[in-house]
Amino acid sequence: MKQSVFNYLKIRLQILGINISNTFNIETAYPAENWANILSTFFYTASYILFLNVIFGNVNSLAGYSYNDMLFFTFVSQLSFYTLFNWSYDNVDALIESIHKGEMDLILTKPLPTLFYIMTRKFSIIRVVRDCVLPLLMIGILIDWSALGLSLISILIGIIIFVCGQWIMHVFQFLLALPAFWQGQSQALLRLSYILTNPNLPLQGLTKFWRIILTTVLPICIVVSGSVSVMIGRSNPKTMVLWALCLALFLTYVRMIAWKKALRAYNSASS
Amino acid sequence: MKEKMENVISIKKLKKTYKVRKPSGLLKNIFKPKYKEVLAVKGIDIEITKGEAVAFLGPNGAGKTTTIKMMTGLIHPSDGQVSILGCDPFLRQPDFLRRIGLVMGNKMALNWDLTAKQSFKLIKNIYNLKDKFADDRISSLTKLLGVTELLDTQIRNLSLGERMKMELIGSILHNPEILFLDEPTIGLDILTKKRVRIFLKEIQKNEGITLILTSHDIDDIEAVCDRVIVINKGEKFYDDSIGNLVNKYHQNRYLRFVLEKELTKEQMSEINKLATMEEDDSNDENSYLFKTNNEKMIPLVATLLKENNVLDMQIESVPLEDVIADLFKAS
Repeated sequence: MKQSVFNYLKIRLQILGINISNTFNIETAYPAENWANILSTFFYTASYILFLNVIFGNVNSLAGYSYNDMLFFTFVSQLSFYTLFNWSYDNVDALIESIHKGEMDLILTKPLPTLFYIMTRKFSIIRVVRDCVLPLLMIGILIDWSALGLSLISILIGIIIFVCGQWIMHVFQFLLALPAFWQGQSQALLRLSYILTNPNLPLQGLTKFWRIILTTVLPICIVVSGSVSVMIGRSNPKTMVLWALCLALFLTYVRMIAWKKALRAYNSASS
Repeated sequence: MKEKMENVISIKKLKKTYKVRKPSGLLKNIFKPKYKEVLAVKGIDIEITKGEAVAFLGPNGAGKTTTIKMMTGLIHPSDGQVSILGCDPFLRQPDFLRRIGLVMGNKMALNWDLTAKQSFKLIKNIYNLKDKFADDRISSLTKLLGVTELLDTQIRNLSLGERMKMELIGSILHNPEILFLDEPTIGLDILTKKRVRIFLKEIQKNEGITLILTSHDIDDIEAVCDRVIVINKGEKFYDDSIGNLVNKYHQNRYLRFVLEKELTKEQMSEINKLATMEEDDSNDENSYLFKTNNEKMIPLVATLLKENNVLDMQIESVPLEDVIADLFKAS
């Protein structure tokens, strides 16, 4: 029997709710961990701001970006890193672990939309708030928002590019995890994605060749560099948003095909 | 007229081939690994009717777990047909998955960091169970396994036995029609094993669940299953009831007699024609253990009863463990 759109959405919303609630229960089971994470993000952000101060104490601009632009770039970059880490990286990592240990068997035999369940298994609202709020506040206070020249339209387009970019990065991580279905492990490849998915590279600082490569073949510069350059008026918003949407749609299709092939190749860890 | 039983599992000519890496030099292994094909399951046919408790028995690497994984739709067969509850398991349709349960002795379905109650809540939502149904079922199943007090304990703080009991409850909370169990008692202590076996037998009897079990523990199979399928080197070697297995492969019987007086030399020479004397670990005085076959059993008993006052007598079949060992040797 064909499933209605209402049922399709209802089941997924239910799963999302359960997974968020479960992740909440897990994270609140170890309260000391939360404090350790807050301290870690605080020290990282503080040292990065210090680094920017040192650089811009000696130069006025970098690739056409002023200190204020660069703070905004860092703001978006941090937002992107923590959200991507929370909703994608953790889940892709858990997928590899499940395949490696054979626990995938027990997920695949449950009446679930498996891919949706797996990719929302570790969706932690607490963690997003815990990890994001402090660094974003620290950077946000330092930014002179009025000097950025943001408009409502540029912000909206920037958000669309940011969302598409997050999805592109997720598919990139997801595809790097899939070899686990064939060979049982893919952690090293996923770690590679950890390095590649958040490059702090302003598009305007790149040569034309690298700009094309890093927005097409290896589109890792769309999520932060693309959205920031559109928001602060350095790139053509129409071209960037169209490109980001096309790429996101194409990669959604690739993700679906790759998942089907991976499931077919699943051998299950021996018991 | 005998009623035709409904087949819940129907497997025809099932085959599974794996690619296994061939050992070669260090660099070749990294840059150009070579693979060979291994036939793990070689054209198995199986029919299982509703409510049966069937054991898959075989040495390590025999193909029994691979067969179960194909039945649950986890891995695709290389050839052959599988129909479980009238469905193709590889399509993994929710309606089919709602009707089966899977327990794996060395893999955990419940979340390590959550309590059993929290994990059961997740299962309740996955299977869309009504609150009252789920609560009643959790209550009755935890009572049956004696783990009611542990519902609010984090899974990681439970012992292996307690964890397995919770896994069992989680796997049948939705009242599946078929429960697949892969080594469910592995690593458990004797008392927990016993409780798990009783539990499985109870749910088979009371709820009509079809049980498909793999185990290395012969006691699991004797206590829980009515039928045994022996698989070795990917082939079905035997498929019948456990009783028939013992009868078919071992016609031997062990007879223990406790006599009032010791046997004389003349009596012993007559008995030697009918049986061989085995080492007896009994503490009784004048206790004798004889090994004979079905044909000579009655003459042996008659001979002993004729001239002796028999205080006690026991007739035993060959232990299933010995039968299986012989069967594997033969295959």
